[in-house]
Amino acid sequence: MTAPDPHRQAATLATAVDGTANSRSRGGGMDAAAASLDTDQLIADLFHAHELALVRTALLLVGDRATAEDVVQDAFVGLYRAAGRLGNPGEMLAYVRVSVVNGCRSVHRARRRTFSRPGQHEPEVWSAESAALALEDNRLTLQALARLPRRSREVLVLRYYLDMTDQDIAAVLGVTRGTVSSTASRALAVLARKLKGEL
Amino acid sequence: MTPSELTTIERRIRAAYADAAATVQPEARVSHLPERPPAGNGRPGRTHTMAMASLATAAAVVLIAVAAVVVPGALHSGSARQAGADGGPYTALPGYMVTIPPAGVGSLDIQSAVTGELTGIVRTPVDYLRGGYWYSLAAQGPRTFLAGEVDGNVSFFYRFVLTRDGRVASIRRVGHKIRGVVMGASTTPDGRYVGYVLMRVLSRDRASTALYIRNLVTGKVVASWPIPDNDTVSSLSLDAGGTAMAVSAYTYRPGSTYEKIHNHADLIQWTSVLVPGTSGTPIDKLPAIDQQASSVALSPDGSTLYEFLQAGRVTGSSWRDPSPVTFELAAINVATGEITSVLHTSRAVWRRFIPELALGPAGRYLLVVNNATMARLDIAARRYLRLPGAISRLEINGKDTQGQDGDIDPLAW
Repeated sequence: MTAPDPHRQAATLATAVDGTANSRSRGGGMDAAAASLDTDQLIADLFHAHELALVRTALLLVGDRATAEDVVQDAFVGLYRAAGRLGNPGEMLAYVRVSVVNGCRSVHRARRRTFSRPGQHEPEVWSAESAALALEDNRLTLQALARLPRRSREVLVLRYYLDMTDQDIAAVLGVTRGTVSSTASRALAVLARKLKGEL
Repeated sequence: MTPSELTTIERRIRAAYADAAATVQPEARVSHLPERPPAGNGRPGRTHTMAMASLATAAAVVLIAVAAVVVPGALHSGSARQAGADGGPYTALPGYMVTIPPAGVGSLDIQSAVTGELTGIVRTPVDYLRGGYWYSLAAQGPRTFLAGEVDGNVSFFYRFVLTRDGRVASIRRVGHKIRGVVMGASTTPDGRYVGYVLMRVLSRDRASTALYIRNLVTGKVVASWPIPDNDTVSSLSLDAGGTAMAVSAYTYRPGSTYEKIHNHADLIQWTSVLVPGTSGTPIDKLPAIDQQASSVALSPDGSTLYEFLQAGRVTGSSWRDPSPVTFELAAINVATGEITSVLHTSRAVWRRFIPELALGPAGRYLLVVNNATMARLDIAARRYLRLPGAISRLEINGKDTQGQDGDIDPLAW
């Protein structure tokens, strides 16, 4: 199974969104109900094009699929509410990505409240049980990644899974490009030290 | 860090992410676009999680049976995470079916569900000549399957994924070894849960059989039910959330030799739908649908059971009747036990009729196979389409050996 290319999906969506946006502007005096239908269609298109990549991204940040699905579902529920105030329909994907990252942060906050001792909760992706699902070296890498600070994990997932540029990562995380770059460098150095014996 | 180390670490990160992300396969996705929330400024409700919580609560206390008090709404709410049978995004037509050849030579057959053509085989990781062979089979998605391998008195589950042209792309062991012989299995679309029937040999002439639902991620058994003595499971089917499992089995009157059973015994087929909250208790059979069904399929939301039932009056000796009888492919409301519709009828002599049902992972199509024909039934549209080819080797089992040596659900798509 070939993983969908997030960039290609983004391009496809942008085309779809632009096309719909043009037809909307040509429509002129469209009533509110029709606009709502248009928005619903845009959101549905966005969901079908990006849900898989978003769930996978959330999975890499929270570590289990059920929670990842919940985070993405909540992001789309939020998108319905926010769609009206988003000036450009093309911003929807960016909005959902930010929502997913923020949702994952909320999950970690909730887990910290629930689990008094750090490390007690072992999500399935980097748990010992996942050995059957992932190759051993990948599991070790995932475990090392899971021990990184939150922002480092977010930067690495967006950079190495979604292949986003540092500029785009900065926009999603609400930090400067320099912060993204320095965070990534530090994270890679930490990982290199932890995995040194195996490199 | 040297450039070489940087390259290596980046490659490892990408590989690890890709591997972890690949655990969510597009064909096994079960979430769907949430509904637009009602207007207002309130915080969006976590309906998804709440639905699952209420489902878990309901599952803990409710036995789904004809006379039981059940909460159909709570059960249905589980469909938020399940495949939709209503034209949702997961209604793709399965392209391939996989069968366990009765000859049992350590391989599974992969066939096109359109042409019937054999496109590939799945060999056991342990050479069958050294004792490994496939014993159970379940579909997880249109191209993802779970198979149980038995090696001596130990079983292992393997997950394999097919390429677009029906060959094996990858195969991996899932979970830990299970002591005993896994004789039949059914899994959820996310691959998290597996329901199976397990036989454990206790001594030379004594064995125990039980049904299990296991979480393959944690390795823990979620629920188990002992199978009554003298009963043999013939089919089982798990819903998409792993919260209900349908099972059909049959009872021969005890104290008979095989010869007597074969020629004179009564055969009582029974059906049940089990939920984890009833773990460990005797199985509560559904008497209203005790109509000699042998293959069951449970809808993804667990609300509807599909079975072939014998029409008319059925007795314990009906299975020996040499005259043709009518079989109805029925849709049964699990909560009430009532037949809500008859999707198809067939007429055949009981002992020559081998109905095998396999529900596509989307819950929309049923693959209906018997010794004579293979067909695809679009449940929503009630369209019954005969397919070219057949799984002829199912005939080797023959009706006469039904239940004696036959595989449990040897067909998955």
